Amino acid sequence: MTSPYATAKKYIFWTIFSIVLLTAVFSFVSLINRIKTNLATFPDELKEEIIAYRFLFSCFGDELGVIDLKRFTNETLNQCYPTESTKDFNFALKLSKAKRQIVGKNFYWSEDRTITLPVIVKDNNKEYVDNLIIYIRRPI
Amino acid sequence: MIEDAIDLLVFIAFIGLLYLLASSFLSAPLEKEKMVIKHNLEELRYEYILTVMLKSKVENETMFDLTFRAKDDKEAWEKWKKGFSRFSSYFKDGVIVIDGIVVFKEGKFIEGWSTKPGSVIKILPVKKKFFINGKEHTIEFYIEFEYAEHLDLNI
Repeated sequence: MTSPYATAKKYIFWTIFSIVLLTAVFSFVSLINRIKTNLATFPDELKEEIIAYRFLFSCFGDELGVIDLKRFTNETLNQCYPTESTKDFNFALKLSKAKRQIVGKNFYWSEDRTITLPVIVKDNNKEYVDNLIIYIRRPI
Repeated sequence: MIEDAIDLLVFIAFIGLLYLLASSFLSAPLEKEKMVIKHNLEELRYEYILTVMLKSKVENETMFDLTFRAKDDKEAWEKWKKGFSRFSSYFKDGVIVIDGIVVFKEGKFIEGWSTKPGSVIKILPVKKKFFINGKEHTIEFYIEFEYAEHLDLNI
């Protein structure tokens, strides 16, 4: 017959063992989840930056990095990058010196990320260097 | 009882080690991939900024024209500095090298056109090559890791 001391010892051991095992299982599950989240979020950064570059290449001017102020409008932005809903990447753009801001159809403040890049602005006969601030709203 | 406690401790240590190994093995390739993509994005960004900088104008002259005249022409150098200042915030963490000579470093212009970059570990090197009157010219931007002239590094 086993002594009560031995039985108690056995219960204590298995209780602690189960706690450790459960902690280990949960830790591994959370690790896998973290890696999955990492895998899922990084392409967002890549995708949004590649989309953002189209605003510098062809939307508002005919040359790389050149923005014709006349074409810097909400309509041009929506034609150049049409979105269906907030489930897409959405953008708002601001020219800091020219003090002009345009907002995409489905862009709602606030932004998830901003990218600032230099551009050459053509305003009639004037030409100057400005900073284009690209506000990015990720899919909701 | 003590033996059981030791067994339990060994088991906990084993699980901990397994977790560490799994986390480093699983995330290492992912992190590497992430770094490569980030690096390429940064390169693309600086390539664009450099292009816009060269395309911009100072008193009706493009920065491209001024860039390769600035070495021998003081007036062109002053204009170049004026034009470049509009972009200096983008380049403040790096080094600009024209025809192998450092002209902008740590957010300051280097006067005299005499500093050679030497052998340095270059991160994010963006290099543009041009031929003007049959002569090759280069403009480079990179972030310097450290000066290592005593090492023969050709990175």
